[in-house]
Amino acid sequence: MSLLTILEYPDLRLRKRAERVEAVDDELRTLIDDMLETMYAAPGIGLAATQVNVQKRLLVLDVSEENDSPMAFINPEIEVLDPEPMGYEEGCLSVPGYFDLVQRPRKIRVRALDRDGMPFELEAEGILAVCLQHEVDHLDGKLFVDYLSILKRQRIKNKLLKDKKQNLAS
Amino acid sequence: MPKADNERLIYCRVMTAILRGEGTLAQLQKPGFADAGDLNRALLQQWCYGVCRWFHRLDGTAKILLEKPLRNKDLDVYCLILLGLYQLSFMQTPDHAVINEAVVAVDALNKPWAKGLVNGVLREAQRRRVELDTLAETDYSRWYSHPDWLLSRIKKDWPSNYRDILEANNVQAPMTLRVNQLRTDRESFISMLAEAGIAAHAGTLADTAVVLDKAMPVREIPGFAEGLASVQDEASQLVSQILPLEPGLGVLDACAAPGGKTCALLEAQPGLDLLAIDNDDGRLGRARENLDRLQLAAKVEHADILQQNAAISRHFERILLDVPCSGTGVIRRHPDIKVLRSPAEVSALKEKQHALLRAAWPLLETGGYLLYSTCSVLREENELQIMAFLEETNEAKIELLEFMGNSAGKSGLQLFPRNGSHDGFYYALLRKY
Repeated sequence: MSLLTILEYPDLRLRKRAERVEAVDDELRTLIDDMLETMYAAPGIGLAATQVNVQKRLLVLDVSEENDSPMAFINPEIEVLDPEPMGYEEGCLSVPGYFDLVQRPRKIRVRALDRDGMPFELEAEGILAVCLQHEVDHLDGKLFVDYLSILKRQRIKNKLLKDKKQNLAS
Repeated sequence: MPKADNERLIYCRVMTAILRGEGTLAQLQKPGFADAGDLNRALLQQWCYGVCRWFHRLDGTAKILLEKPLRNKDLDVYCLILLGLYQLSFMQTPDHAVINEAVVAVDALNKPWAKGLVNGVLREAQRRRVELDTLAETDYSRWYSHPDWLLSRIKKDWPSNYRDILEANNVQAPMTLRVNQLRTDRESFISMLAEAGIAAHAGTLADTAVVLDKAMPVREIPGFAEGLASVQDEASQLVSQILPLEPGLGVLDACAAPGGKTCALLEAQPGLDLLAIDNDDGRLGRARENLDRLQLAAKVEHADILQQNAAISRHFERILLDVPCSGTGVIRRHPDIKVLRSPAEVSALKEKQHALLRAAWPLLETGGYLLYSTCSVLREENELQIMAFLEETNEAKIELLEFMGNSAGKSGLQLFPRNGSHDGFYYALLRKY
């Protein structure tokens, strides 16, 4: 297994749309394992393939306190069950150091394939619903900062670009 | 998404402010939790209320486990220790996760030196759990988690049932609504809730009370915005059943903010000529909001009954005097009372209550009624206060309240907090002869 590099906003590759996965094979399973390892190391609770520069509709997550419930979602489809907005202070491994309140539907159903290519569905509320919607957004080239005001987004972008320059200089 | 652990930092900010006496939980949680989303807010609430509720138990345990007390500027570390102990004893979180998260949070506080300390204290608490619990049982202040002074007062006042009171103080109160009887009735409202999938039942004390099985945000209660119901404990709702009301009567609500009882009186008798005053203009704003939402009419004035004011230069046939008090009857709703309140404050409140009684009495018409109320269970604020006032006031007599088939007697009606039901409360109905 190996750690993958996570792309950081405003990297334009985060804006690419991911393609449907046609075959669930060993190569994809290796990618899943690498993504989980990368996510745990961050430390994170969710990671989309887009974030590690792979344009496939695949995401991994583990919202448990103990990091003992890894899940993979291949070709995930989301259906909103309760549109009532729920706010959560979101952050993103691709936007390090920033957190802000984002409103999303409270309850969803997700249909996907698991790591063996078997279809499954589950209903999600709470942090699981937040995380799933956040990660599926990535597959469509969308980031949580897109829900914030232009002003806030610009500020975050400039700050991250400045940090990067400083890192390169030193 | 990154793993978020910053809610522990928010908790530390709010909890240290409380322990420093900078405000109450109710005041601090709104600005304090503003940065957190709905989910985190629910968790933060559980933590802050839980740690306050069990503060004296947790504090006792922490003091045993710490070799020497922490410095004042490390109160945040102490708050993390209290939270860890609370989770180990009262929440379902697995032990290793509790300890892990606490240590991570110490890092986030930028106090790496405390990592070993927090880790050590929580591990020892886990190892010596049975021993520590047995130890706590021998000390009532710790076991019931009340400060010594308050525990001994409750015990002295109510020797036969003080343990029931202490126990009830540590159980979360239900969410109770007052149905607006001008707009609907209790049965229809309960069936309307049932249609929305909200389980609720009629209260046993007040005619207008509906107790929800589970607390919920008010904006999700059907008809709330339209004024069909308000949030109010059953004991407070009794005000309109105890004070005799008739259309056209001049009524003074002398400590009205935030207006809960004002609205209860008007819903029972909208024809009252009611003047609501308070010395706190900010909280009076909430009274105005409530009156608007419920479409009730009353005069609302910013005035202090202890001072001369044109608004109260007349007589009233009814006066409601819902005085500021120790709040010892509503500890289950405001557990920080146990942490914040001091005996000196209770003495000061007692003086204030007496002054308010003396200031309100001359404004009462002969033959009129004054209803004195507190959300306290301490006799010095309740029956002893009233007894002293009756002694010095010739034309005042206490009415015997017949209630629920029981006579409340010559000392007024004292209610104690009851699990799943009403708060601790006191009423004395006085008449002027």
